[in-house]
Amino acid sequence: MKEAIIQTFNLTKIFGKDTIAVKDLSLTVSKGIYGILGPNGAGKTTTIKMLIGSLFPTAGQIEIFGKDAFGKDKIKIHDLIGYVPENPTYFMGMTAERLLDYVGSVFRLSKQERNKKISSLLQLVELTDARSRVIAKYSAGMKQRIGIAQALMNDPQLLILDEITSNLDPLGRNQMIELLKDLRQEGKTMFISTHILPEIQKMDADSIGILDHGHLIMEGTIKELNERLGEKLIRISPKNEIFIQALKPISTKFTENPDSILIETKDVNKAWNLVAELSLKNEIPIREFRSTDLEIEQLFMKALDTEKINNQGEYKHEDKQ
Amino acid sequence: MKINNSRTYMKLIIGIVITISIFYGIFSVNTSITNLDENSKEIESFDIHLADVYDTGYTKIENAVIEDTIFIMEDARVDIVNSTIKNSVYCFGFTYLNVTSQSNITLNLILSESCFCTIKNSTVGGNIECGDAASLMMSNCFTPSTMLWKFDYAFLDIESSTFNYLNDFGLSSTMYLANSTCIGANLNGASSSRVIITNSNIGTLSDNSKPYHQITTPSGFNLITFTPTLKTSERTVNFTWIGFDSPIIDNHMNITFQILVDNTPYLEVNGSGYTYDSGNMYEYVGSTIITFEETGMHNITLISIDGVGNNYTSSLMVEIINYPTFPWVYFGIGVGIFAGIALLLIFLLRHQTNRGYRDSLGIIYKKELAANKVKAIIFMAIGVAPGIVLSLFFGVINTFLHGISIDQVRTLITTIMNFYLIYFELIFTIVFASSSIINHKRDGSLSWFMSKPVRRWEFLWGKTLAYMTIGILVMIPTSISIVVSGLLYLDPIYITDMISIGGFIFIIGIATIIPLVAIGMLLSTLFKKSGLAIFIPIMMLVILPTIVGFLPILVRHEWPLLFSYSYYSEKLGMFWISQSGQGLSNIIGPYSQLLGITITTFGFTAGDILLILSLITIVSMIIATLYIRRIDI
Repeated sequence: MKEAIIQTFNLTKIFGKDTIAVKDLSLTVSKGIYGILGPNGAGKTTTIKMLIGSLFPTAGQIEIFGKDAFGKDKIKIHDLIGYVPENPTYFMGMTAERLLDYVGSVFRLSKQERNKKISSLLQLVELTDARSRVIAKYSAGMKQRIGIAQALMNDPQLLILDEITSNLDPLGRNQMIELLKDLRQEGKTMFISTHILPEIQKMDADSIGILDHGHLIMEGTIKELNERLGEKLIRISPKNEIFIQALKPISTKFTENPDSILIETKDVNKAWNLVAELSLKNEIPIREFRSTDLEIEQLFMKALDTEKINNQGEYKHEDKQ
Repeated sequence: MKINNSRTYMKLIIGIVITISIFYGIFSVNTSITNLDENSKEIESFDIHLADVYDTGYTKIENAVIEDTIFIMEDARVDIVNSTIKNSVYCFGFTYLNVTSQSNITLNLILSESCFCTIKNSTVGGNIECGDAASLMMSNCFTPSTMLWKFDYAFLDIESSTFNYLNDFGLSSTMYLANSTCIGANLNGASSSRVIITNSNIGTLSDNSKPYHQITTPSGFNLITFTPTLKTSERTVNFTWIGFDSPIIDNHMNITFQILVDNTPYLEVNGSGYTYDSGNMYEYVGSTIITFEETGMHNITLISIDGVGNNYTSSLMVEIINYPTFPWVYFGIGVGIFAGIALLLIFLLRHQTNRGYRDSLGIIYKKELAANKVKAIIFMAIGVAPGIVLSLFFGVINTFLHGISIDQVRTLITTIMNFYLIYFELIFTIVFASSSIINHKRDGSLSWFMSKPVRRWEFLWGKTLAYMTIGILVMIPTSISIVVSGLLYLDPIYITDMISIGGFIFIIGIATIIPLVAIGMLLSTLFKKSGLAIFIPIMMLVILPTIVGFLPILVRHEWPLLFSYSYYSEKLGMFWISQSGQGLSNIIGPYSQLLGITITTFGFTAGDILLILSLITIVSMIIATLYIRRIDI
């Protein structure tokens, strides 16, 4: 069993009297990339703020590196954490160089270490030329990149990234994804929240958790989630009315493309038997019958739908703060 | 009734004749009036009258003999020319009477109530009484039986005349007597009454009138509370006076001035033989510099003694205020204690750090200092402003008044510092403290920073200590600039006083700015919106100027009470009294007891007040610390 980097036990956060942002959240984050997915207001940022100690849980417990996140070892835990907030709000009046120097000094790095680290990190995030500029004057993408740099200043074992790619252009997103992959290669654990689902797939997340209305509705690898949902995506070509009429009843989702049919079904064998039989009987040659796992976005939607059906009327909607 | 008796007929005829004569006489007088103008009349006949009253217009009595008393009243003007008034003449009110050309008033001439009378070449058989600010100009009159009486505020100018006797009982009245003769003069007038005699022959002169003087400087008498005490921190007092004696004969008076300081003879000035004609006011102007070696209450007594031993005494109480010297020793001890505590804490932190404790307080403190370097420099530059403004004021006063005293310096410093401390410290608190934590909470940077290995209280205290340090640094140029501005214009003997003032300004500054920063940080921690955290100090500014306005009492004798709550309490009492008195202001203050208003005083000392300010700081910071440790950021 993999070592748990983050573990939450029935974590609950209620704002005010009855605004439930996170409810009984129990999750386990192991080494690698953990993507926490969810629509806006699902409780992702609230969960992250509790992880970094900014918000106090109403109930439940958080363990990071096996230690109580709000206990006496809090400072030691924070020594090993790097955090990039959703909105890059650091000390905006500082230059990039000064901010990194300050962060480095908070981590007790020597002046020499700090200087070395500042140069390498600025190079990594391609801000060497802008090192003496005040952060407030940075573009949104640059602010996101300096966020990554400051989070890496202490060479953290755990990176907590909140909507890390939300302010980046497509090129920047790809670069960021590559960077995160590299960091994983270095052995760092990343807890990433996002609502841009394809990216988590691009990052090849080791595990994902799907949050909705403060509840963790599903957790595991993409493969595990697929297995749990038990549905496959099947592409059938050519598009033929006979196939369409035969496959519709066994599909949970049916899509007609110009030259193919896409169906989602739990019973792949039955679909294959039907298609094969109809092909022989009607002399329709099969150009393609390919079964794949669901895309993460589809998986996500499926998970939300499933949860809705399972818990219809059980919980009321609570927005995050 | 039947008339049958010849005697009766005769009586009747005589009566008719007399009656007709009287009516004719009256009618003839009336018809003899020649209108000089609308309100004027002229009398030119030898008629007999019972009494005459002139109360308006101009009347000329010429070549007339009037038997009866004449009353001249209100705004009437009467000329008596070559006439005889066989009775007395009374003048009241703002009337004019001219008696000329061998006229004669057989009995008395009574002048009063600001009337104006001239007598030329004429005589008065009885007395001339002149009082109640009446004026008499008499010249070339030979009237040897006339007694002249001079009463209050009368003005008499007698020239080339002869009269019997002068009796002076006047108060603040003046009489000029030139080239004249009289048997004697009896001077019993009040000190301020004077008789100036030039080239005249006075048989017997009885001088019972005291000389008179007025202390002209130092001013400082409180005329409202009638406390003739001058309060000053000046060690030397320029004591000046004007003095005179009555009579002043041929421009000479016989007077000596004795000055006693604390009932000990200090100086004797012989004013005899010297007069100073200043606008016809014959006075001796004296001055001397009196130096007091010791502070506290003193009295200066001026005794004027005339040639016959009459004397007049007045005293001035002088309180030489002993402004406290800045307690440098205690200040040094205090600084040493603070430095010691700081060093001990640093040592303990380092010790703990070596044992694995992660301390970020020093790092945050240094970062805040560095981050606010520019702001601090700007505030330090602003801190010099009071010194520059004061320097300008001192320069102007020095130019126009040919010098500036330490008291003036203290007054101006108090005024400027009152204004400066209130507004400067408010702005300082708002700029540095009030919105500090709030801004970090609002923009999320505090939340981000809390992901670092720092404690919340370290963040709060690191910032607070940095702002307090900046506050202390800012007060240094303020104090120095004010000291320098004073020294530029003051006598070097006041160097120590100015340095003490500088020390007190520094202490007052930091004693008020540190609690304000603590309060600002508390508000910043408690509230989520900076508007409230800024609004509250502004409200304090609106509500508290009356109280805060009493703060730096650099100039007053209350200086030692700077930190005395009783002082503020008393001042507040004054304020309330003046409010209830609807504009009667502080005049009522001294009479508060009469009004039944008791001003409660508390026996808080400077140390107590410092303790209170320290407690405000500590309590504010404890609340802020406890709160920030528990809140969601």
